[in-house]
Amino acid sequence: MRILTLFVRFGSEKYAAALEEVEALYARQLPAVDRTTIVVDNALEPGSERRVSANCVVIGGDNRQWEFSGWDRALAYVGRDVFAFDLVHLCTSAFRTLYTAYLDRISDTMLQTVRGRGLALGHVDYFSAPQRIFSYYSQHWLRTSCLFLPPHEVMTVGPLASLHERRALFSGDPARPFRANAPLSASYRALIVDWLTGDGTGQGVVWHSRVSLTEATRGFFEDKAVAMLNEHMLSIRLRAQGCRLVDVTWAEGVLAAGGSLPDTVPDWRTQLAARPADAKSMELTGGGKA
Amino acid sequence: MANLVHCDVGTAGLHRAIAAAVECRRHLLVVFPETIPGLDCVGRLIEAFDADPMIGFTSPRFATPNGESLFPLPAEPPLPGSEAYPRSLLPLLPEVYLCPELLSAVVLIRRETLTGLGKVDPRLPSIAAAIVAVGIQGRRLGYRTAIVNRAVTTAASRALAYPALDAGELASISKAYPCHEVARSWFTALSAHRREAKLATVLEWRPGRPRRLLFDVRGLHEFHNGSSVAILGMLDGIMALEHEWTVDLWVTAGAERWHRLSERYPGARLIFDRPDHVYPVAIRLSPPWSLLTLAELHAHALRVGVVIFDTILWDVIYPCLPSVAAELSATLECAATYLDGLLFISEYTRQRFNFRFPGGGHVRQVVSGLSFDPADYARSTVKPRDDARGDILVFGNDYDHKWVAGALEWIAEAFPFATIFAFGVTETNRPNVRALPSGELSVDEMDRLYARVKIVCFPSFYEGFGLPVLEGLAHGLDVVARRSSLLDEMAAQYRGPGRILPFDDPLSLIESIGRSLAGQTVETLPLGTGVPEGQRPAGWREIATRIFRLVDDVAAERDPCRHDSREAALRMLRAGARHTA
Repeated sequence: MRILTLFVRFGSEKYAAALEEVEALYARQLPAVDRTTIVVDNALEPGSERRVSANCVVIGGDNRQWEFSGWDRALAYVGRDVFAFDLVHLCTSAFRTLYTAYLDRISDTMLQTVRGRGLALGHVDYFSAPQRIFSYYSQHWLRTSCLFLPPHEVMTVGPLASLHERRALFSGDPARPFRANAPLSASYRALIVDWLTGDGTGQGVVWHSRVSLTEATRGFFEDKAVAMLNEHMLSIRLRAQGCRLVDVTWAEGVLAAGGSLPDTVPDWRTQLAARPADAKSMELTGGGKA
Repeated sequence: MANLVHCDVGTAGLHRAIAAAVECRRHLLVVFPETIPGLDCVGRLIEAFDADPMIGFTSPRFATPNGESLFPLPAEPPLPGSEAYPRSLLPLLPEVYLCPELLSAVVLIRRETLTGLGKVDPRLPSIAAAIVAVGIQGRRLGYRTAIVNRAVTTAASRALAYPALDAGELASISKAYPCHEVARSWFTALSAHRREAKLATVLEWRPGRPRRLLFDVRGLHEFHNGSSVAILGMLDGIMALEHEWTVDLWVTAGAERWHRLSERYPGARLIFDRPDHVYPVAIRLSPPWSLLTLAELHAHALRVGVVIFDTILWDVIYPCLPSVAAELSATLECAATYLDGLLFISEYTRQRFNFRFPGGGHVRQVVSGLSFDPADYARSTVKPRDDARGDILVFGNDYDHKWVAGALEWIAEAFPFATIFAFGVTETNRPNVRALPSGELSVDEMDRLYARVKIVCFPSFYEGFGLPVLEGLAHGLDVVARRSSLLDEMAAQYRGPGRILPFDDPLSLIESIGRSLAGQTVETLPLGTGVPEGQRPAGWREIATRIFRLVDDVAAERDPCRHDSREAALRMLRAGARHTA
């Protein structure tokens, strides 16, 4: 099986060991995989390129929409050669933060069940209630810090950085960061503010890089909010194109019980309800953090 | 955001739903039973309105219940091929197709469009007909339908995804809205139908599975000539090779009878009218002479290639009617620019073609050649040359560039005691010249002729290959031919009996023949310098291998850009032809 890993980072100081940890995950859990890695460093100039080995290259990224514009840069770099791979692995340097136990459940067998199908495999996060986001209502998404999907799905979904109208979202006022008519439900805006600046989303987990919202931090807040929305929108657009989201923990339970993923993958609620008993209960987080 | 109407409400219910949506300024989602789309899909349909203010209707694509395959769009008549396409087709499709009204199991109607709709004729016999009528009304307001290829929902079957109106419903619609017939024709003519079917032939294939390949051999005529030797030779090689392709041959009935193709190639399926399949690749084993030929190949295959024999007709012009000459230019320019592959029977031809039609720089090119193996030209019945009497065989035909009449003047005068057999002249008053009917001698008669003569003279100014050179050599004869880089190329690729004696002008022609007849030292070209030591020259199987190399290369190509450029070019040419007709 051939896997293309698109690993996004911003410099190598923060999460310095992340790339080695990705290597270790593959060595430990996916030793038979034929790997190619593109390290997208959003701190480097666009166009820069340094080949590390026959199967690994570091390229300059695009930090305008953090990891999402970085992945888009990598996909443009690969071009149609992406179809030579069985799976694309989207990964960020923060993939080992927050809830990470699902990573240990990823296996070669699991990835084999995803290749060639209309499936995306990762960790399902969710809110307590559906939220409005643009023309969509959605409650769940796949965490994008570690996500596997077939090349035809990632190439169908189009640009992964899909939020181009920031002015429609933000007011410019740190006291009320979202515009009154922003295309997000009020509860979603509150969740984002709470996650980035406060005590989380009320589910017992807090973000590792939370900030106080001031004029000085407003840009960072907006960038992070865009990353969260991009993460959520990626799952929504995948689902809209008919790609089913598969929760790693649920899939591991199905495979461990001697089964195979059903022809018709159940919805996310069914999957989460059927997560193995030894799995930690839901970790509700706000998105990938490169 | 959107109101929902379930299609079991009847025409009156549809009216009420439209009125309610207008009142609360919402889009209206119309769905048929068992095809309720997910919210994400609906959201994508709504989002698609943002692309253009005059998109009035959006419909999703439909997938099989497990989501892994896509149903083709409704086509009239249905296209042959798969009942469903692989999901991997999706990234090769544009975000939307714009089309006229489409009866789909899921239709989202824009709120602005709803405000302009009038009463639907209550005499329409069904809600399906009423929905079509709504689509027609919207179109007449200027609102198009967008099929959103990034919004996919499942349906139990293609028939449920795209409900069909029965004859009575259609008649009612056409009576109320005669323009619907034009719109249906428009939808049927969408290139998307064939494009998707063609792309699917590539995407569905997996190593080890058979797949179908189309060879267009309609250039094979009902007589023997150089072209028929070349085409049949290539086909012999193609059918003798082991490969994963199932071969279909597109032939004329006349050629089938004359060359007994069904007996000669029992493993191939012969197609006489139009192919009933779409193919990943089609190769024409002869040059295209009209744009229609290219359009026909394009209609049936994702990748198209042709074999170019030469550019002589384009250069000499005179055998063509003026209209044909003009189309010939356009045809060859189109081939050079828009095809996926060009095969040439010699490097010499490739260079002549590229100089005249420089658009071919980005098209894959292969010099596939023709057989250089003497065993492919000399038959076992050939007689020993003990009785060779110094006779000369002059090859050609009545085209000026063959220069048969010119050569005969010189040869007959210089060698009055030699018997000169000549193809390409119909009559002669020279006692030592015997005119032979071109293309009418049997194989045995030709063998007897080769056994009788000592020299083959091929005085042509312009060739793409020069089969008579190979045939003369294969029979162990001296072949006197005009010096050119083509002759050098042939000498380098050939190894076997016979000699090549180059000439430059009439005097050196006579000198070469004279020295050969007298057994004196004569300039000859070195043979086989391009053939690896210990190997035979390329035969028809090797030629076929080169053809398949191109076939496999273009078949592996996923990018539809070249196909799409060709589609656009041919569509414009068709429209232009209608305009000027």
